[in-house]
Amino acid sequence: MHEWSDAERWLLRRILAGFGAMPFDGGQLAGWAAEGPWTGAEIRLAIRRLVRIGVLEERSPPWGDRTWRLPAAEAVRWHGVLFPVQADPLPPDEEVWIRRDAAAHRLPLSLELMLVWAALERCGGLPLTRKGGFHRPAAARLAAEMRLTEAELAGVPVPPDIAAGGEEGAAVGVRNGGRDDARDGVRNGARDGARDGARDGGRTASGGLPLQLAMALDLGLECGVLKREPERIAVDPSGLSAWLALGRSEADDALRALLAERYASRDPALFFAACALARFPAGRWFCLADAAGTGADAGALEAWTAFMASCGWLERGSWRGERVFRRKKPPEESDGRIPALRVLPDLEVWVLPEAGLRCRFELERVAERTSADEVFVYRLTQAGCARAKMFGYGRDEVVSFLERESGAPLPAPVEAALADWFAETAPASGVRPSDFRRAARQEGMPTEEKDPENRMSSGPVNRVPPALASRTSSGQVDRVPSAPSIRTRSGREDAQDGLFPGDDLEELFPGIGAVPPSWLRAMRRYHPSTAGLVVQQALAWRTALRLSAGGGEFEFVPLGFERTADRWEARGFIRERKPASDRGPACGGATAGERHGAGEPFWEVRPAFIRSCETAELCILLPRD
Amino acid sequence: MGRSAPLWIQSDGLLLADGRHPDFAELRDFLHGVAELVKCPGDLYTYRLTPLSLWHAAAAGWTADGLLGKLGAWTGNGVPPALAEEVRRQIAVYGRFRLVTREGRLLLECAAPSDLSLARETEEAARWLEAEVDERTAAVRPEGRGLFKQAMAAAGLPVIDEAGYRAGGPLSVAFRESDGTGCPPRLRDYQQEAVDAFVDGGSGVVVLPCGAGKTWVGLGALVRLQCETLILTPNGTSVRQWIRELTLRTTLTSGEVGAYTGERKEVRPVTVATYQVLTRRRSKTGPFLHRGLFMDREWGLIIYDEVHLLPAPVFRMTAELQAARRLGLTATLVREDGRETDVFALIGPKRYELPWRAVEGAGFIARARCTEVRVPMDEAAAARYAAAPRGERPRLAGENPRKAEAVRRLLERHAGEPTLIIGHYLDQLKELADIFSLPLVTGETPHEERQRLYDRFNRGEIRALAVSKVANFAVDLPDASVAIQVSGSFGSRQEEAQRLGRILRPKNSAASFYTLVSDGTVEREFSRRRKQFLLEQGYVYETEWWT
Repeated sequence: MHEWSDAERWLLRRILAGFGAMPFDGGQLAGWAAEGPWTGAEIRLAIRRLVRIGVLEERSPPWGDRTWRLPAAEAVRWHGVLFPVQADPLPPDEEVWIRRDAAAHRLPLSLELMLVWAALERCGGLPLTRKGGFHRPAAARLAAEMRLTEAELAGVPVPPDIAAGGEEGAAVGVRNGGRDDARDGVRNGARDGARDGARDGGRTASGGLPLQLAMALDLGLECGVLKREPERIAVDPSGLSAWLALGRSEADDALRALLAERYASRDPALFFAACALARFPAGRWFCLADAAGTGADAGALEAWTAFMASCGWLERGSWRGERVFRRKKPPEESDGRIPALRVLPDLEVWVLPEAGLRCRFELERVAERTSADEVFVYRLTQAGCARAKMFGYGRDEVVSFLERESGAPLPAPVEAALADWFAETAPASGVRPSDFRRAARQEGMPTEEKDPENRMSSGPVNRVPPALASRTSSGQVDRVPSAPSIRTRSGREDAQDGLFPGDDLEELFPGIGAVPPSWLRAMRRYHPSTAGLVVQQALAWRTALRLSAGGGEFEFVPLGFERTADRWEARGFIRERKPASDRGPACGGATAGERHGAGEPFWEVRPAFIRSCETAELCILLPRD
Repeated sequence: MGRSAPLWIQSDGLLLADGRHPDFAELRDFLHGVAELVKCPGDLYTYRLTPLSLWHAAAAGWTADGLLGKLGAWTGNGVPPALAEEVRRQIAVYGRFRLVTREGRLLLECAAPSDLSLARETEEAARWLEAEVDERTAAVRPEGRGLFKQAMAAAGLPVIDEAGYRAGGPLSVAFRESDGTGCPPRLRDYQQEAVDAFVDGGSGVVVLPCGAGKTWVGLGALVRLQCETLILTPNGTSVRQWIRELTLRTTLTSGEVGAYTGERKEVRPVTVATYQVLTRRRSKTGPFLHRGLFMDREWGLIIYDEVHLLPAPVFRMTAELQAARRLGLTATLVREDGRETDVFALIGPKRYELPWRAVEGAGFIARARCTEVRVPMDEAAAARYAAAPRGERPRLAGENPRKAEAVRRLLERHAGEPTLIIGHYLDQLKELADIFSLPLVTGETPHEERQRLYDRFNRGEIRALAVSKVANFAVDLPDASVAIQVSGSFGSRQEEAQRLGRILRPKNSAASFYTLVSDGTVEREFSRRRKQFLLEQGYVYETEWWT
C-alpha cells in the first residue's frame, strides 16, 4: 500500500481547494511551498508520487509547460476523504419552521432529459445546417419541451463551446471530444474566467442554441443516448436502450456526477461545493453553513444548490434566518410487482413517481403527455396511436405494455379506443417512420422481445462516471470516510515505497551526483564556509536541512541566503511535526490546503535565521520516496 | 396499490387520490372541504385546489399551516413549495374584503387601507366604488353588487358578501303531510345537506345527478326561506312539472303558483318561467320584453333549474339581482360554451355536489349499465359516407340505416321494459317510429300532446317512446329503464349525461343505456367525447360490436 506523506495529503487538499479538476502548472506549484510548512522538494516529490500512483494526471507536451490535473472522478473520491463533513441534520421537530423557497416545480434531471430526448426521437433528430450549425426553429421547439430555463443555468459553467452563440460555435462544441478540448492547456485564472463567463449574460441563446438544450444535447452525447450524424443529432438506439435500463436514481446519480465532472469542474469553487454537497445524505435538512464548514465558498454553494434545485434534486429554504437545503430522496422504483401506471377509463394514464425510465419513454412514444409533474399524466389519443405505429407498435403491443405496467386489464373504453385507432392506417405527418422503426426495434419493448440480442448493451453507459452521491442512509453525514484504495495506472497495487528511480532523483535534485554524499547522509559539523555551501545547495533544491543547535535538533527550511564577507545568514523557518492533540483552537500556520486536517498531526512553523557563526551540525534532508 | 400514501399533489394544484386506499373515505371527506372534485373515473379521483376552494376552506376555519400540514400528511412527498405559497396567499386574502349594509348603504370594508387602494386599482371593480367613508371603507353602488364581486374575484380578491339578502315577499309554505302516495314528503339526507349548504352559503349551485331529486332541493329551499320565488327552467314541460311538484308536495295552492311562458303570463308568489321567455325581444338590439318579471317583484329566491343551460342575457340580468338569493340546480356543471366561471360569479359557487356513482351506490338513483353498440354501415351507406364532404359525414353516420336493426334487437332484448329511443335527427326518428310503430315526441309536438304521451308512458300504456332532444332535460319519466340513443349532438358531454339521466330514477332493476355508434366513422370520436363526462363520473361503458 502506498504510504501517504503529510505533504501529499496537504497537496491534494491544496489542489482540490484551489484547482478542483482544473489543470495547474509548475509555476503555480512553486508558490505553494510558501503557503505551508513544505519545501519545494517535498512538493515536487509529492507531485511525482501522486502521478505515479495514478491520482494525478501529467501532461508533458513537446511544447509549453508540463501540467498536472486531478481528474474529476478522482477529485470527487478524494474530496470526501480530505474534507470530511461535520454536520448534523436539523431535528425533525424543527422542520416545521422551515420555509421552503417557492421555486417553480422542477423535474429530476433524468426525467427532464428523457422528455427532450423523447421529443428529439419523435421529430427524427435535430437537423444540422450545411455548415454544421443547428436548425434553429427545431432547436427552439426542443427547448420548449424543457422546464429548465437559461436563467437557471446562469451560475453554472456549461462548456462555452457548446453554449457559444452562433451556429458555427455550437456545431463545433457538441461532440464527445469536447471534454478534452476544454481541458487542453493551462488557463490561468480559469476559476474566475469560468465563473465570470457563466454570469456575464453572454452565454445565452442569442444567435445560438438555447443553453438548456445545449446541456441536454451535451449530456445526451456524453451518456451515449444521442449520437452525432453528418446531418443531425439523433437518438442512438443502443445507447438509449442502455440508458433506459438504469434505475431512476442510478440515472440521476450518474447525471449529477456528470454535471460535477463536466460543468462544475470548470470552476474550482463550484466543483468544491458540488463535491461537498454530494456528501450530505438525502432526505434531511442541513444548514448551508455546514456545507460551507468544509471550506466551500458560500457563493459557490448558493450557485450549486440553486442549480441542483433546478435539476429537481434539491430543495432550499430558510430556517430561523439560516439558509437550509435538503437533497431529495429518489422515489422507490417499481420492481414490477407494484404497478407504476394507472390506466383510467377516460383514456388518461397516470404515471406514478415510482415508474422507471423505460416505461416512461415508451409512453412518450404511444401517448400524448398532458402533465409532467409529480405524477405524469398522458392521454391515449388517435394521434398518439398513429405515432406509436411509426415506432413499430401494434395495438396488441400497446395493450400488453399498458396491462403489464398497470397490472390490470385495460378498461373497456380504452381497449375500444385503441382498437379503433390502430385500425386506422394513415401515419402522422412530418415524421420519419424509418427512424422510428429502427429506434423502436433496437430499444423498445415490443421489438426487443423479438430481438433479444439488442437488449441492454452496456457500452455507452460505461462512459457515465461513477456516482458522486454518498449513499449513506443514516441521517448523519459520512464523518470518517476511508481513503480510496490506491492503484497505479496499470492497476497494480502499489506496495513499493523505496528509493527514487535514478532518473527521477537527478530530475528532482539536479547535480546530486556531484554533491558530496556526506552532505545528505548524516549531520556533521562543517567549516562555516562549507556549511554555507550545504545551506545554499539545500536552497537550490528547495529542500530542508536538519540542524543541531542549542542542544536540540530541528528542521530548518531555508528561503533566502545572504553572504557578507566571510559570514553568511540564511533566512527561513523552523518546522516541527506535532500530534493532533497539540492543535490549539487558533493554531497558526494553517493554509487553504490544511483547513480540514483536523484530527491529523500538523506542522508548527516559526520564522528563523541561521548564521555561519551559530551553526553546529547539519545535513541536507531529502524527502523520501 | 402497494404504497402507503393515497394522495399525490401536483404543483399546479391538482390532487390525485387513490380511491382504493383503505383510508380513502377519510381523505375524501377532507378533500371535499378544501378542493373541487374534477372527476372520478374508475377508482381514481382528481381534485383541484382553486382560489375558490381555498377561500371556502378559509371560510370553514382552515388556516394555511393547518391545511398544508394535513395535505402533507396525506401525501408522502409534501406540498410543492410554490403551491404551498399559493395556498398561503389565497387563505390570507380571504376575509380582507367584506360587503356590508350600514344605515341603508352598501359598503365595502377592507382589512387595511392598502386593501382599499387595491380595490380601487382593480379597474372593473373600481367603477362601482363611491366615496370613501374612512380609510378602510368605501360605499358601493347597490346595482353593481354582483359585478363588483365578480370583478374583484376575477382579480383574485374575494369579497365576503355580508350585505344580506332581501327577504322577499313573505310566503307561508310547508311540505304536505301526505302527497297522495301515502308517504309524507321528506328530504333525503343529501338533499337536506344540499339545502343547508345553500342556505348557509347564501347563494350558489347544487350539483346532483339526474334522478337524484334536484327539484326537491329547490322545494326544500323554498320551504326553508318562506319567500316569494321565481323559478326559471329550460322549457315548458319543465314548467309544468315544477308546478305539479310544487302543488303536490307543498302546501302551495294552484292560485299561488303561476306559469310564465310563451302561452301564459301568470305572475304569482311562486312563478315558474322559461329562460326563453326572458330572452325574448322584438329586435336583435331591442330591450328584453319580459325583463320586468325579474325586476318588478321582490323575489326573495330565484331558482335556476338546469343552470348549465342559462343563456347569456339571463347572466346579465342576474348580475343586477344580487339582493335576491340565487340557487342553481344542475346535474352537469359542464357548459359547452365554457362559461362555468360566470355561473360561479353570478349565481354563486358550487355549494354542494355528490358524484353520480356515490348517489347510485346509496341506491337513490338507478344502477345503470352503459353500452356502446358499434353498428357497421352497409356497403352502399359506407360508400355514400366515404364520398360525402366532411361536413355531411356526421349526419350520414348518425342516420346509418342499419341502426334500425340494432334498435330492433335491443327492443327484443328488453321486451316489456319502458324504453326511450332518443335521437338528434328528426328524419331518423320518424323512420324508426314508423318501423316500430312508436309514438314520437319532437319540438313540433304540441305541449298538451307531449304531456299526454308522457303520462301514457308513465302509466305503462306505451312501452317505448321515440323522443328528440326536447326530452333531454327536465322530463319526468320515472319508470323509463332503457334508453337507446340512436344519434346525438356531435360531442356534447352534457347531452349524453342528461339522456342517461332520463332512466336514472330509482327502480328495482338496473337501467340500461345504449348508444349506437356507426363503426368506422367520425361518430366514434364524437361518442368518445360525449362519454367523457360520465366516464369522469365513474361510469364504465362496455362496447358491443353488432353484426
